[in-house]
Amino acid sequence: MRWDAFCGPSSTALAQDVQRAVNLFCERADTSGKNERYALVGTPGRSLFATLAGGGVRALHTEPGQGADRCFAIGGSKLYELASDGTATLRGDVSTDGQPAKIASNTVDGGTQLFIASDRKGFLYVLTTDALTGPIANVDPLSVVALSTYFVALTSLGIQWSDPLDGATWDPLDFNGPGGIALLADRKELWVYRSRNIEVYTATSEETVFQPTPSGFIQQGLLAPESIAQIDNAQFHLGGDERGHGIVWSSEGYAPRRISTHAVEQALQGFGLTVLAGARGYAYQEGGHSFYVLNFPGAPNGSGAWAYDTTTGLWHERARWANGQYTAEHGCLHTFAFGRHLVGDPITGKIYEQSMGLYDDDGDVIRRLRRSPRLVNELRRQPLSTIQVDLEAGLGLSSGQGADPQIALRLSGDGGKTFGNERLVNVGKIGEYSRRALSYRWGAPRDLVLELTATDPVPWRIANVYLNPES
Amino acid sequence: MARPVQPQFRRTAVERRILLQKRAKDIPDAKALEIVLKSFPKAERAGLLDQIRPQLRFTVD
Repeated sequence: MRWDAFCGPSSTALAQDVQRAVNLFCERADTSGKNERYALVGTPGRSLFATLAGGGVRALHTEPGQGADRCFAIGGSKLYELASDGTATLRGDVSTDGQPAKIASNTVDGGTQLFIASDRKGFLYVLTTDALTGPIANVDPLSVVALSTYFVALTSLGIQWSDPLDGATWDPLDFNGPGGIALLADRKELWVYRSRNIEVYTATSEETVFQPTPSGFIQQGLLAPESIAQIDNAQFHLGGDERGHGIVWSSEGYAPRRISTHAVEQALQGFGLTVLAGARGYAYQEGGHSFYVLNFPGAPNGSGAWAYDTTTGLWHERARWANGQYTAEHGCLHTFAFGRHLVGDPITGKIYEQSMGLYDDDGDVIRRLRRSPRLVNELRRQPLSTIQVDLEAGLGLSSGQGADPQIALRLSGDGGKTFGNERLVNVGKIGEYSRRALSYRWGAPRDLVLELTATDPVPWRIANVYLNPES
Repeated sequence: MARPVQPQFRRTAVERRILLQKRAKDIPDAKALEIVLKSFPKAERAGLLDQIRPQLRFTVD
């Protein structure tokens, strides 16, 4: 029996759904589009790219260039420019409160400046002279974006904007209110996120330049200011308002769309309000998959990040494996520079390269886990003589860990409440492409859940599982 | 929606005082008022505060 449902998302919900996909994501296996059939692919690994001596990474920013990207990072109170080989050059000091900083650029409008909001102070970096100045007078920015030649900040005045193409000059009379808790510049519009709503502003020719857009009002609030991310012409955020919290929303146009499932919401709401409010989101695309990744610093051990794949609409989990349990990932800030995905660690100051072509977590194992949904047939006994895992075999390494890659299988006969002992199955040394991953004599469970784990640093591509295949 | 127009000149001191009169009712609180007043010459601040005090949404000593 071909078990198509074996490959699927993380969805551990009250409705007796127990399936998990940790460090594995779904890719549509049936390209005809006729069937909802997926394969499981390993999430990217990481290798150390740079270490910021100044402290934890508080912001990452890339100025795209035609083969000459400029990448900036704030570590603690230091602004660095990163070279493509990971060399960090100190560009100056900003003040720090330990919270995330924001970097906005006006180069898309013809400017040459970066404006940095850090510790409710503004700093200006001029790309042509490499000069960092600040704090800038008349502005106390919580957050900043660049839009229509202006830098726009959330300040004590509300929404405040600079002179055009001049982040050094802020007239405190250039403001509109009320303010909010986060800002986003999207398609020439300014999105102001508040605890109970979101309001969209646009630049006008009025004396009060930024004015609310008619119909640009969304009655859904923001819970986690650092959870906002953009990809695929949509914005994503972790929401909350007076009716509840812990739902992940996407906004295409002015219509919010719930993208979290009951399973995701039950997991997130279990973290508690403080952890949820500190959630950090980033979005990136690799291999044609656009991911929105939500990290939860401070979440209890056993849980990591939740990632949503916009191409499949399915969620999976990402986590480090440390001391025998899953824990939060290192990096939760992202930028794409020099053709690489870089993620920054807000604790250690390390910046990692993240790639599907890397198969370990900077030297540590990535433990990939797939727990199937329940397989029940009117709670009758299901004799299970053979399990065959259909995966891409023969991708082992030439030596060392991964030279003889294995998977571990274990079975539950009570719907995932308890599991039996693990059994190791070889999946083929390098070049053993026709190796079949088979395991025998699994009894006759009534309420079957199969769990597969893999830790070897090799590419993992799991197409399906067959139960009692004909020889 | 009108396209943004970039001002060719900075506001004069007179224009800023007039604008302050117009915007005073929108200043959210005392901290914001302090930022606004600090952008005017020190000698003018007390007089400006007296002028806009009736329009403020909050009380200031």
